[in-house]
Amino acid sequence: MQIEFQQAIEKHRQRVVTLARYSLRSAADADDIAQEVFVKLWQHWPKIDHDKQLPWLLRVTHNAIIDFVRRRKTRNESIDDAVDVEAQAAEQSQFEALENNQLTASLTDAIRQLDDPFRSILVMRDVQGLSYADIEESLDMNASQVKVYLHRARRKLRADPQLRLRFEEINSSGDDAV
Amino acid sequence: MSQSSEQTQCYAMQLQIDTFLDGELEGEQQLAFVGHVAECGDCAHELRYAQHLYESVLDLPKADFSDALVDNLVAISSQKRVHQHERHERHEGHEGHEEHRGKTGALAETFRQPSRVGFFAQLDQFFRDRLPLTIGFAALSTLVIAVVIVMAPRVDNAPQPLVAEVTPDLSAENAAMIPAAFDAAEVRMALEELNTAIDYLNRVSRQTETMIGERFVVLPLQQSVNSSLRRASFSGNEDRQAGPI
Repeated sequence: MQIEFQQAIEKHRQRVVTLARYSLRSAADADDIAQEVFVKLWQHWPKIDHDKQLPWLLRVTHNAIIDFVRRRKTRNESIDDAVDVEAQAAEQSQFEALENNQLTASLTDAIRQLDDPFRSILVMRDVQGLSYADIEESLDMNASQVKVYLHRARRKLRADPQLRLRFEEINSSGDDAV
Repeated sequence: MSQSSEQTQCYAMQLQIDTFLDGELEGEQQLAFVGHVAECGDCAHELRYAQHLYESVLDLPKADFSDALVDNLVAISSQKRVHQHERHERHEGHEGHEEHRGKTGALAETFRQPSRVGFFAQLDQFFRDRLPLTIGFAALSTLVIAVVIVMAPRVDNAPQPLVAEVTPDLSAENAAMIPAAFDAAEVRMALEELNTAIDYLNRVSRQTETMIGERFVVLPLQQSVNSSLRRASFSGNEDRQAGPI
């Protein structure tokens, strides 16, 4: 059982952490959420349908993120921001290095600002490339609901003024080069 | 084409951008979309923007957590085993496993912290942790049944009849089966004394010209005494009094 648990961590860790990272500003918070999710996986190991392990993990992650955000809203935001800044300053991961690209950074911010379930569905489908079946199972929705939310999430992203500005900059510099 | 109808058409086409990017537009819809984008600069620009964003999202980095966290999680899973082992050995009187503690980080303490959940959740956890599933289920079921039985309302709270039930009349054969707890002569003597007492009561009631005796006390008592004498099947006895004396 322990070996199977370790295999599950190896197999799904990226999916769980990616969903958390694109939902929360603080990498440390995202890691905490991911860790909490895997602890729950271990605690519920005997009761889980292991054919549907990934949807189970994503559902628990999604719920944990919602709970976390709800809890944070009730706390003092300024303290929370200070913690975030410290955590982000301390973190020098490859993920954040990639975020240094301006468009990527704006895109990540815009995704984080989406509401649920738009954000989760966009991250699951477009960032992680999960199947519609897995997303449906994770969020307890049918295929058409998932598609509707996904398309709306993309339209919301396109409506983000920062992203449009970045795109126009890239577009105009491309035209200038031509 | 008027400006408003163009705007409506552009809006309808832009709603289909995502379906087009997903490769799910087919047949006439696809032809109409491609045809419109080829002619409309705004929609072509919007499509390029959408495609660029879509590809940028696809290229977004996947996050991962550190190996230290993985080690922590692995330690947690093994910690629970160690914890169970410790509990087992402590039960047998062996101590000194404190060195196991603190090796797996603060998160591992979640398994040690006293649960804040309610009593029944703890009970459930107890059964799940310490007993095989079938035995645990059986024990839990027994407990539930026992609680239901204890909590159920008592049946013997039924209202008592205001008048005592009439005892079934015993035949002579059955009367013979009455245990001889009392001597027959003593019973006869007691009944005669009782009869005398009733007689006295009756006389008093007549003297005081009250009706307490005849209708409500004397006659029923007299009949009761006579039937008792009959049931006791004394030989050769007749009713001591046939009605009020």
